[in-house]
Amino acid sequence: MLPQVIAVVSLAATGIVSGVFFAITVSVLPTLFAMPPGQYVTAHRRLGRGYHPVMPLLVSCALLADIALAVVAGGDAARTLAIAGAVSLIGVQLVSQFGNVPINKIVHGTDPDAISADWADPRPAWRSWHLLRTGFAVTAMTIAAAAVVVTA
Amino acid sequence: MITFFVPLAVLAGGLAAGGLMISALGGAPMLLALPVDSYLPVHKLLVGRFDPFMPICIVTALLSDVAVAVLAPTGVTHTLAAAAAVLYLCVMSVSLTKNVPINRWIATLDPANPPADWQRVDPRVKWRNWNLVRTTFAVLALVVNVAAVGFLV
Repeated sequence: MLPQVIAVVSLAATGIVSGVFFAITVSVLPTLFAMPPGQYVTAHRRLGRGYHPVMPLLVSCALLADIALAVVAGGDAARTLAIAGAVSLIGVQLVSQFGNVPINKIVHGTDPDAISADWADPRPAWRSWHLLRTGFAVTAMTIAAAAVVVTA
Repeated sequence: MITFFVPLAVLAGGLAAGGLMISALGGAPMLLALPVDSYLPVHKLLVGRFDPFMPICIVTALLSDVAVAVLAPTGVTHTLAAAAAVLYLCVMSVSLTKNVPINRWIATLDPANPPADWQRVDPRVKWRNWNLVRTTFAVLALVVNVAAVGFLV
C-alpha cells in the first residue's frame, strides 16, 4: 500500500505543478505580453509574491515522493519510473533556478515608473524557460501516472 | 476499472487545483492592485484564455469520481469517491453561480468607459473570495482522492 500512496502523492503534486504551469502558459503569459512595460513589471512582481514559496515547495514535495518511491518500490518498473520522474523534476528545479529566477530578480530590481528607452524586455526569454520547465513538469506528471498504474 | 478512474480523478483534479491555485495566489491579488481602466482588459484576457481548460478538468475529475463511486467494491472507497464528487459539484456550483456571472458582466463593460459608480459595483473582492472558496473545494477533493487510493489496495 505504501508505494501506491507515495505514487499518488507524486501524481497529485506533479498534477498541481503542471496545472499551475499550464495556466501560466495559456492565460497569464499572454496577459503579461499585452501589457505596457511599466504595468507588466508591476504585475510580474506581484504575481511572484503569490507564487513563492508555495510552488517551489510543491515541486520539492513531488521530488521527495519520487525519491521515496524509488527506495520503497517493489519492482524494477516502478523504481525506474520513480527515478525518471525525479530526474524530470530536477529538470524543473534547474530551469527555474537558472532560467526564470535570475530574470525575476532583474524584474524585481526594475522601477516600473522609470522604464528606460533601451529597456531589455525579459518576457520572451522568461516564456522560453517557462515552456521548457512546463515540458519537464508534464513529463514528470505522465511518469507519475504510469507509476500509479505499475504500483497498483 | 477503478484503478484507472482513481488516478484519472487525481490527474484531472491536480491540473484543476493547480489552475485555481495560481488564480488565487497570483491572479486575484494582481487584479486587485490594478486601476479600473487597466483592470477590465486584464480580467477579460486572463479569464478568457483560461476557459475551456478549467471546466474540462473539473468535469473529468467529477465523472471519474462518479464512476469510482458506482464501481467501488468497498464502503470506504465508495464513500471517499462520492465525497470527492460532491466537492467537485461544489466547485462547479460556485463557478457557475458566482465567478462566471461576474466574468460575463465584466465582458460587457467598456474599459474606456467604466460604470460611474465603480467604487460601489467593483466585483473584485467578491470574485477573489468566491475564487478562494472554489479553490479550497478543489484542493479538498484532491486530498480526498489521494486518500481513496490508500483504500484501494
